[in-house]
Amino acid sequence: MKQRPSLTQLLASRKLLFVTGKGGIGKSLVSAALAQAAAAAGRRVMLVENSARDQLAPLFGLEPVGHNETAAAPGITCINLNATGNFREYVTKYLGQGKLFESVLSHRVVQSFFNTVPGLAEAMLLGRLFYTCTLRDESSRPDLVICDSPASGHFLSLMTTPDAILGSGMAGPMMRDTAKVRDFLSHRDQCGVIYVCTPEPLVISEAQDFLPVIEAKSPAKLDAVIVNRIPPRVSQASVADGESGLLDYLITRSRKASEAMGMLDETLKAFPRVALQGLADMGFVDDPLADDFHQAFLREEAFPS
Amino acid sequence: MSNVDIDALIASKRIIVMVGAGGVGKTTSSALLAIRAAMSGRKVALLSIDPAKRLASALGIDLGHGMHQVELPGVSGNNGSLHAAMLDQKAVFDQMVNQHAPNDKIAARIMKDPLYRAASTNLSGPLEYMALAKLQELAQDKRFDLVVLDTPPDTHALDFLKRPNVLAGFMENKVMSWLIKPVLAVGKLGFGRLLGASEKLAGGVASLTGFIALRTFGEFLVLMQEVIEGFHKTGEQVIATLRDRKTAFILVAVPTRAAERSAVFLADQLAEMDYRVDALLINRCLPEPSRKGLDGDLAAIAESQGGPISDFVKARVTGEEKVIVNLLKNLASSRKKSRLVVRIREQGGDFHEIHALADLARSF
Repeated sequence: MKQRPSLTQLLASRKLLFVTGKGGIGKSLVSAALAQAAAAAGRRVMLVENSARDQLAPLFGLEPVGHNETAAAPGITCINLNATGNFREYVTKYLGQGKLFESVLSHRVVQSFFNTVPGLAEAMLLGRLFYTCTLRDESSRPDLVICDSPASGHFLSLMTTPDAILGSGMAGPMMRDTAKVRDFLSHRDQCGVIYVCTPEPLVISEAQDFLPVIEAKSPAKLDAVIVNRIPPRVSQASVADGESGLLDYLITRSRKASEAMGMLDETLKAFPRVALQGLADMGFVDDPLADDFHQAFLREEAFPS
Repeated sequence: MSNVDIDALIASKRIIVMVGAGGVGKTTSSALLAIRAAMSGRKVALLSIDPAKRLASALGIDLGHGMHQVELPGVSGNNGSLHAAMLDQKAVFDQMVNQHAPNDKIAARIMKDPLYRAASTNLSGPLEYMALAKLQELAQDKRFDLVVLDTPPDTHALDFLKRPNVLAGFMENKVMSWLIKPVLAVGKLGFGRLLGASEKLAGGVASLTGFIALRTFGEFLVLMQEVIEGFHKTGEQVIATLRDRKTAFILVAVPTRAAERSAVFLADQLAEMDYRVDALLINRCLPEPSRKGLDGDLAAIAESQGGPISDFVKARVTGEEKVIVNLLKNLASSRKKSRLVVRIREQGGDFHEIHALADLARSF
């Protein structure tokens, strides 16, 4: 049987990793820990998100950084890309039309238009990631970009945007650029998707639906599945009386986790080349993260099955 | 716990909007609230966005099947009812086009437009318009006296609530005429020549930037003109509806730092937009300790399961308290003050059956 790759191998070889999964399962935390691990291994990492408010910066003890790339830790910068900033950079840096942006496109009217066109913000985000990974000046180009991406449904919208644009029957330079972006995303050895889930039947049933769809529709393919918040194993025999609500809770979670893992095992048979990593539930993670948080969080654990 | 208050809210409002970050149990909470309201005799419409498959099947709702009556076990002797629907972006979009297009010919042309097809099915964004349009429709539907609205998660919840303003701004800024005029000017020449003529659109911005959308979008807007005006009107009505005293916002969170940050941010944004948060719902709290108290339980867990596991529980308990204290402090320090805080204890059960949901709703 072919060996599954390890997270470490992915972190050492990829240029762009998208981290996605259901809302609230710890995507940002996982992204930050992966960045720490890659930086500890000597790579220059850029952590990217696209949120109404920064989720990554607070994990490194920073005030929100917004659309300004900011050093977060040795070897790690973070940025919260926004649509207007991406657009400005596309027009001024990439197309070399700084004057045009300032005179016409910075106009409130155009901004308003920009916020309203479906798919445009997504196209600009992907374009910006492409630019950062491949075209940016080598001295400041990160080795690895980790994109703490939108939750599953919106992630799918993001990743299907290039094909939607290419299939829209339009023409012009943006079509050409979109084709380039799509081509870059489809290089399996450079770009990939990390799917984060938790061992709960509801979450895994979403994974069962979502993973095949991503594989079919996204130009970037699945690279890893991370199971976050694996509850501690409890021995059930000694606590059958159920007199403590807290203990009952632990037992229920343990039982549901085994059930969920069984479901996931079955699902992942269809993905033999995908890395698998289980992460223990930490109880509570306070911010800012310790510099070596990744060591405790990402420690190699036999994947329970 | 705060059943009386929650029930007072359920009894007195016409619309309840649930907001919160992704993954905090918003959709499940919306369903429970709707069920509880129906059991108390209200005629409820639940509009859900992207519910988990099991929840959807428990409620018997399906994409594209419209409002569907949910049979509630043990509801008799009152007039309560529950209808539920899952938002189907394309169906509502098509309905709006049919409703607002000046004639069938233009409606058909819009439906065939590649940009429209891409926007209405593949791309994010339209979902938010559509949810608002649907909310307005339900708010006026005489069959219902309470609408429970689940909103898209995360940043998209904000997009969603800002959407009416974005649309209003879109019109007031005259983007329409800015984009459309050049196209209209040559419109008399007929559609066949539009393509060539609109190259001049907006002083050549399109060709300079390679920003194709300006050209194609301009043409698209001409087609969509009346439909967009219809959207705009809906947007204004929705703002009024959302600000109405009979509308309640419930902020949903879970006890983690990330959820805390999102909740505080959401509350700030809502306050800025003049929407008032009426209640804070904190899902996934740990169950209450037994009669032995927390320390007693922790000692018992340490003895039977070992120190690391009791440390794990202790970390959870301590963290949870910190988050809740912080949330209350943050929310109380401004005018976005919530009067009602409900803690929902973590449940062992699964929600794949309507009976389980109804039981849970009773104990809410």
